[in-house]
Amino acid sequence: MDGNRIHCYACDVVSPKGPDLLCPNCHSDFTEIVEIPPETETPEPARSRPDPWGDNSPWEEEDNTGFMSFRASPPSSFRTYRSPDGRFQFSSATINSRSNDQQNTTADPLGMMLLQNIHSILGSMADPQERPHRMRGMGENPFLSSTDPDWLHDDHLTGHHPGMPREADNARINHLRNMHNLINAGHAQRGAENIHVGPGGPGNPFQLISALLNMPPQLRNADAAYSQAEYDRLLSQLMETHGETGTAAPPASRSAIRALPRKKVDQEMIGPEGNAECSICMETVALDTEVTVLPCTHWFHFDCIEAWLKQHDTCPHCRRGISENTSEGSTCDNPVVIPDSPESSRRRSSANAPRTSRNGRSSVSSMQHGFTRRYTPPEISSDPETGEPTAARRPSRGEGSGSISSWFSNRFGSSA
Amino acid sequence: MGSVKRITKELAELTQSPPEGITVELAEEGDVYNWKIHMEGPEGSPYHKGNFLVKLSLPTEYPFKPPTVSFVTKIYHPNVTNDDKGSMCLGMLRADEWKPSSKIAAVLQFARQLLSEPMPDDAVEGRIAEQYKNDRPRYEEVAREWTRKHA
Repeated sequence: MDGNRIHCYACDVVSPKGPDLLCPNCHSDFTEIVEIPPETETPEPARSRPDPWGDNSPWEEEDNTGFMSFRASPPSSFRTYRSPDGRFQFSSATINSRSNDQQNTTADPLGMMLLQNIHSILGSMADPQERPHRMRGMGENPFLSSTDPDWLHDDHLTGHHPGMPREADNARINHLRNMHNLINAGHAQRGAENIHVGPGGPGNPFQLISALLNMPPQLRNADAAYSQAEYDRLLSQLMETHGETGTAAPPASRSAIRALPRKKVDQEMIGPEGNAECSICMETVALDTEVTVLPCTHWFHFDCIEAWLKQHDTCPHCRRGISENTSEGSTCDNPVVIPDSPESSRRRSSANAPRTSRNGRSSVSSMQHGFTRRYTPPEISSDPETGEPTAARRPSRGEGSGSISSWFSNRFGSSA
Repeated sequence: MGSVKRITKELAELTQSPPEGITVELAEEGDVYNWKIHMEGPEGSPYHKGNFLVKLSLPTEYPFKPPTVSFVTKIYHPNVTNDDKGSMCLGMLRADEWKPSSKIAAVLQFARQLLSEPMPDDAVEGRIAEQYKNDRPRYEEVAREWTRKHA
């Protein structure tokens, strides 16, 4: 292909350049030679189709089978065209449902999954009855829009959400599972993206679907939340499915728990009324009982506090962290400065939240507060020499507030 | 497990000296994890004179996990889901806000307080929250109507 075409100003058509400079369409001579840079045309699988501009309809020859049948490992092609003057560009994708022997695509599970997603989108597009309120706020997000229960579409801007499991939850869980798989697969895919663009044509369905959605084929798929509210919801849902307490404090390490000082209950701890109880089991604690004391001076039975700390590294009473005097004995000389009590920061974030999620506040902001405002936890914690927090990995989780992909990277364990 | 002991203790305290407008009993004898609460609509709220049946379920991990509170009686409230579950899930009831030192009595008082002062910014029913914020009289009217009909 020489890449030369002519643009006819009379009929505004771009045609292959003939031997002369006349427009083959209207025979006008008001034409201009245009050069199409080679890279804008992705290599095509064996130029079997005479007219690349006209073959983008998968329905053309398949009315009898319908596009539903592409479920079974369809060969696909994907092309990008740019107008001669470079001002506009479009992509076309062709899905061919007929059995195709020129491309021996091995069915990869990711592709199948994506195609099933698309399938369900197209399926419900084809049935107008099924999609009365589809377009609201969500665009065509394949991860959320195909078979979601109604609550996803109802009132999401005003904070409606499923407070508790409902009947529709199975569908929701399946969707999220799909999403997880996609994201995980996305990681694996990232390094290998370009391999698929070879002379055989781009057979990578991930690219195909992405192109259909006009999104780059990376983790940005997950960014297809078209509003802050959706974005929040997405995040909270992911966090909830990934650990039921989402933004809650992380567990304390076993060594940190064991390192907590123990003490026999004395008269002062029992107070003037003469009876004190462990606020976890609510048992009255007698004088001289051995209890475990947290840095905030709240104390509990060891068994009781251990059970809690295995889940969250904060005081059950005041929510302060327990990590102050657990790192190599250095903190006695370098007391960790306690930032605002976590409670007040929580309250602040919830007041600022534009809408609420199941957890009741903006996930992003609470992640920031939840992680960066906490002292460095014992496992990662301090440089024994300086007492300064080393470049702790945990706070960086919260920093990705603007970028869901960095959060995913952290959460789902990228190579980093 | 220690949880049964604590729950029994809390139940005893609540039966002996129940908080205002609240009575508690076990939904079924012998099952300390499911409670039946009768809650009177607080005075000055549109729920006044209503008697709401509330279900409180304690997880086996209690007190390390929060109880769940749901309104069996239908109620028009921004913080209670308007479905057959009637869930209320905010503030101290959320898993990440829960502290094991919170008692069931506090949970119930919190729930009743919420009837007097809904938290529209933490709503589960967005429409009701909007109405509560923008058209209070209408909200109160509907809430009163529902209270009369259901509670």
